[in-house]
Amino acid sequence: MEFMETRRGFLKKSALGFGSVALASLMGPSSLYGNELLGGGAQNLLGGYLGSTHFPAKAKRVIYLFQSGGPSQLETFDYKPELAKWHGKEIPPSVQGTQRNSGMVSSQSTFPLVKSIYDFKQYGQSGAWVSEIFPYTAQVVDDLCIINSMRTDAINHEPAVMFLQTGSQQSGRPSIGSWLSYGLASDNKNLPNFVVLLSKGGGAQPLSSAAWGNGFLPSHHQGVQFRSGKDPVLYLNNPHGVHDEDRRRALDYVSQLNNHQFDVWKDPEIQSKINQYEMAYKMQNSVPDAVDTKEEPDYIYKLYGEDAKTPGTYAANCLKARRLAERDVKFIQLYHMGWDQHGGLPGGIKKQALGTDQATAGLIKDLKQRGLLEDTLVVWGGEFGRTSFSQGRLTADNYGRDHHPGCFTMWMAGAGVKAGMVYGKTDEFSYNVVQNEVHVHDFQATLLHLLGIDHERLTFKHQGRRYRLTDVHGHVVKDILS
Amino acid sequence: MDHTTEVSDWIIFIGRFHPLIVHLPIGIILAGISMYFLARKTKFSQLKGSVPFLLGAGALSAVLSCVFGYMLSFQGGYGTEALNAHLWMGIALTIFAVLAFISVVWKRTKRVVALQSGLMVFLLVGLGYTGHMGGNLTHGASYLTQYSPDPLRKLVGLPPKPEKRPPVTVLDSADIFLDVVSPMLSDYCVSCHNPGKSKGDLVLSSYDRIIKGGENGQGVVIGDLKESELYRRVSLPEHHDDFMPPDGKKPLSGEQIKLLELWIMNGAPEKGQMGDFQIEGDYLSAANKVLGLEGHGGNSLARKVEPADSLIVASLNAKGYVIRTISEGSYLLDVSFVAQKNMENVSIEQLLPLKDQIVYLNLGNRNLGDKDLEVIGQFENMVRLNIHSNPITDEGLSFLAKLENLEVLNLYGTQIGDNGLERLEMLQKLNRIYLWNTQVTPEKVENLKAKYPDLEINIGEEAS
Repeated sequence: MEFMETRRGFLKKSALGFGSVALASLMGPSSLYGNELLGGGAQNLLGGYLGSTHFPAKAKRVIYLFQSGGPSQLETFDYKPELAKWHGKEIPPSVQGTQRNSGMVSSQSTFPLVKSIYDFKQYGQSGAWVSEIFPYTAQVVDDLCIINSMRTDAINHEPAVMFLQTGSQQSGRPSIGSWLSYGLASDNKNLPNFVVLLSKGGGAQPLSSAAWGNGFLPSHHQGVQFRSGKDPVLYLNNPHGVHDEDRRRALDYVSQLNNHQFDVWKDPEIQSKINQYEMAYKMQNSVPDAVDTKEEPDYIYKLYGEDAKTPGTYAANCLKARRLAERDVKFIQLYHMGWDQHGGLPGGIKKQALGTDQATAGLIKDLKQRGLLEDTLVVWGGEFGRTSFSQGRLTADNYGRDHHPGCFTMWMAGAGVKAGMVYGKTDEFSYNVVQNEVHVHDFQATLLHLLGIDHERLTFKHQGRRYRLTDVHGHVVKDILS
Repeated sequence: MDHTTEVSDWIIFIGRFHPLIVHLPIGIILAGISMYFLARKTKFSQLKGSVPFLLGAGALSAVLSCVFGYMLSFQGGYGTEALNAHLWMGIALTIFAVLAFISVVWKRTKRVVALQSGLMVFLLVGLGYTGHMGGNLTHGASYLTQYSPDPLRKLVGLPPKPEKRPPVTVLDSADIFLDVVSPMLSDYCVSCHNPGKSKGDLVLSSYDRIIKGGENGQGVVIGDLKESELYRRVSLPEHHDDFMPPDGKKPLSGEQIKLLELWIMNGAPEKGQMGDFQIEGDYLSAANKVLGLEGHGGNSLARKVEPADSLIVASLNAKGYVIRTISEGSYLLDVSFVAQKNMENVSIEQLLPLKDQIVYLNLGNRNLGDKDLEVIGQFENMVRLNIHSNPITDEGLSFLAKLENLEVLNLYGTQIGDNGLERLEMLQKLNRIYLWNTQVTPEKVENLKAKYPDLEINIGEEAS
């Protein structure tokens, strides 16, 4: 690759290069630029597009607990006691404003407001309000920064998931993990930089793998999905009769052939292929150790919940996520589906909470006691919120809520984020953001900032223009930085 | 010239071109004068013909400058005396420029030539002086002298530079006005609010005038943020008409505003050490940030060191170390080693050549013993050390006592006990320590918490 040059690129670089060498020597070798040239760029020690972060990173890795389907903010973190007074009454037009509804409630003639069926209490020193369906998360609120004022542009699952993960509602852009893999290179050459873990079972809504796709970035930056079954990666062992040396030799020959092909065609995807073969070889050794949770002591299982013993559960994935974080995997993306309660919300959300609450809190506690929360960022949240009014008929013990992009709740915890903070406010109906709105692009900009990256300077040129995760938007939410 | 009546926007808009236009007569007249004198030498006699044109053009543009300058004076905010002096000097200079022009196109008699030389010299001096006065009006009277070196100041009879306050190293000893409020106002406000150019009749370069405020209200009302015009102006939303500093100038940061609040709420004293105030929470972090004292991202990470030897880095990389610079523009290093099953033992003495650069070190689960800590103890710039799950005992910890910059220490899963912690108590900057799965007793932890309320001690979940 390094010998590949376009004519324009060559001319530009040589002109600029000679110019700056001359300038640097004029200014004397003691000047900063001169020094850097003399250093031969040796301080880009690892590679990666950026070489080093733009500013000292607070977070070295991320665990993103994606709650797919859109968990209701009203039954989890955004406590609205005023709604009790309005329960069953029509949503006032002044509140509804011009926010759009999904087509799924278009045949509905009445939009009765509905209060949360679950009680809230304040917890911790921060006094954050948490619903009774999250008794374990409530124990760790002092480690969380709860953002009640999230806002997205998309109203349906696929575009909304894409928007959060890639910054664009249409699929085809690189996801956050891919951007980081491309920008920062790996801290552990033996494991993929970006690992994806899906809970078994899923929900009514499918989840497309484009959410962890590499988009236009070289394909070895895509998320590597570990299977949710007993063997997270299939065929890790060499087939019977194939020795490790044979495998190595075969790979070396394949790589020679690939390199030859690359010399002829200069297709960067050939390099990706070589990288992927090499990674697969290294994973034969590293993966069994990384994801084998058998040796975890009982008290750890107690922390994450008994579910953690069953492969493919959210709890088991949380435990795996911690093990991967310990091994410096840069971006660990979990997905847990089934938060899409259009009807039967009281029962549905309770079940979802049971499946995730203890493990989520257990992960926070476990990371904390190992000192990993020091430089690991944990993110929890779905793709949008849910409406304050009921979808379908409102009865004494049953109701539903439709998709609502106007406001929703996410939380972050760990490296560089203020602990024990509740940020942003919605109106008394949790329908509109009234204070400190955090748009999805702002969230992405903040996440990159925590990893030491200026979101405006991590770019990739594709189809004639430079792209970035936050497109042309995004402001770092400085208020939540510690 | 204080005009309280409304002036048309047009007048001030055009007036603001004065600083641009005014350089025309300066340049043109200077050229004319120099050509006038040069043309006396035969070698340059061909320049003679240009002199009338240049002086004419200069006089014309000087008239224009006067008009624009007069318009600009309507916007107010200039010291009356200085403004009047500049105004009349400008007009006088213009008259002399016109006279000089007339004299060079007039009949050449001996008397005229003698007059000419005098006129030219006067013009030259006048140009310099009037220009200087104008500069003082725009940039403030101290603009030129602010950075002049002391020997030069002595030469022109200025007092030596006011002694710079020593950089603040400990928060408690910083002065709330002299080290916090005053430098902040000097950096952001004083260029427009000084004795020479007191916009809104506000001067922010002395304590008394800060409190007094300007034409829009009292600057500081002790204990009342709403009535303190100074605070109100800087804390408004940025797009508000009254927001200060005005468009295009850098606004105060959230932390700086927080400290202004702290000062006003605590009696807005002229002097007073930060240690005497109850500073907590947001105020504390704001103070640390503004004064550059915070550990995380603060001065421990701003240290300047030589770049690490790239050959050594490469050889360590090959052995499995991951070595990064902490950010662009810094040569400080973040070094980690992810333990793998069946790996060889690598001696950590190989890290010694990087001892000045390493600020973050992660060597968890590496089978390190007390002897290895002797090596680590030499890494004096270390900020964060993670040596969890290693067979380390109390003996080894004494080697770490020299790591004065250490802020975070992770010792979970080691064999240390209460005695070992005694040896760490001299670490002043230590913020957080992880002690899960060690032999440290809860009593000792309670004891430490009481003694060091700011130290965060994590002993993990029960059942360990």
